[in-house]
Amino acid sequence: MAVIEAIATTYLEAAAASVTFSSLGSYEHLQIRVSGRDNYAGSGGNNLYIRFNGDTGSNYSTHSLYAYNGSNTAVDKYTGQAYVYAGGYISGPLTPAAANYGVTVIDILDYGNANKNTTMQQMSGLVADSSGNSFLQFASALWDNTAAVTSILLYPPSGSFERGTEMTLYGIQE
Amino acid sequence: MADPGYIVDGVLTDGEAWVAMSHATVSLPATPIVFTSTDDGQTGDFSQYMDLVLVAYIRSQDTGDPYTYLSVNNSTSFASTNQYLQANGASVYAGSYAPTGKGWIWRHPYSTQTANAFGAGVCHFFDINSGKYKSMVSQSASDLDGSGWVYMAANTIATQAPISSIEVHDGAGSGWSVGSTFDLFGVLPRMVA
Repeated sequence: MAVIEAIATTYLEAAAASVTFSSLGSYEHLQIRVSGRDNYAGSGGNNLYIRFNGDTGSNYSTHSLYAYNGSNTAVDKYTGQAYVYAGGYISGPLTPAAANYGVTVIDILDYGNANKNTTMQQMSGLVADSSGNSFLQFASALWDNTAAVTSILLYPPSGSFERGTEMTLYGIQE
Repeated sequence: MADPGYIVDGVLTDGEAWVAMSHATVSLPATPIVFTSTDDGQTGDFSQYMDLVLVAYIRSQDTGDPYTYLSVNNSTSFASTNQYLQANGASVYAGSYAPTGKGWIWRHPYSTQTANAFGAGVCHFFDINSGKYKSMVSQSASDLDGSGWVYMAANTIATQAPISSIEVHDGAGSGWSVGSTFDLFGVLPRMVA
């Protein structure tokens, strides 16, 4: 069996409100690679939101470190959220070049273990949004639930993913 | 012509998603290191991959300028933008560049710094055959035994053409030091429904 396998690829040919991966296979870890853009009105760039197993409870927390708009740095943390708040930057409609998509690598570790909470990390970037701003982010998230992850929902904060958004889920063997 | 590895007895399969495409070890100081698509449907053909990942362990002959930059398709005429975040153990810095046609992906050791110290770098390229601008995220680690830098960056090069070559330069152009290594991986999408 391959060490890293492509489990599923979604390449949107039309706008879609969300992307769900629900056949995760049996691997040690997962990785999702994203090239994304949304139509959230008035925004230049947004974080992906993520839910595991359809859980809409206040069971998610995130920590993030990021740089933006040149020399600015910041950190954030959120607890008791109903979704992973910092899932990775994608472009919004005010990013002036329609061909400019935000990019993200998400790692979800030991997702099949039914005795651990699930932790993920992501690194993402969106360069030159509506105001010439740029975002570079490294973030963690915790799903405070020991259930094995069986599905992953990704969606923008509002609106839909734009045509051309691409996400591929990879499984990594132990 | 032989089939690529993911076609077995004429049947499309999903095997190893990360394919080792090319490796370079520097035996004489040289710059840039160039990876070019073979355009033959084989392992080295960029056109079959969704993403690329470049992994390097590097040091330069420069006496200054620790930054690694790359160009694509042998052109430095495309508009490009960068956002970086770096730290040296005492302070953290963020900034941006708009170098024409270049992605500033890593920060590496150079010749007047700690002997024999090389820096580690990983760079991810996304959706390389699409009509999108070519965007990447990257990170590097250069520890110099008491000093050094960690660095991460996002870069976008404003070309909608597929990536057919990548040129990896040391900042000042004196060349990559002997022993520097570069590995390029192609990342396949899911192909079988």
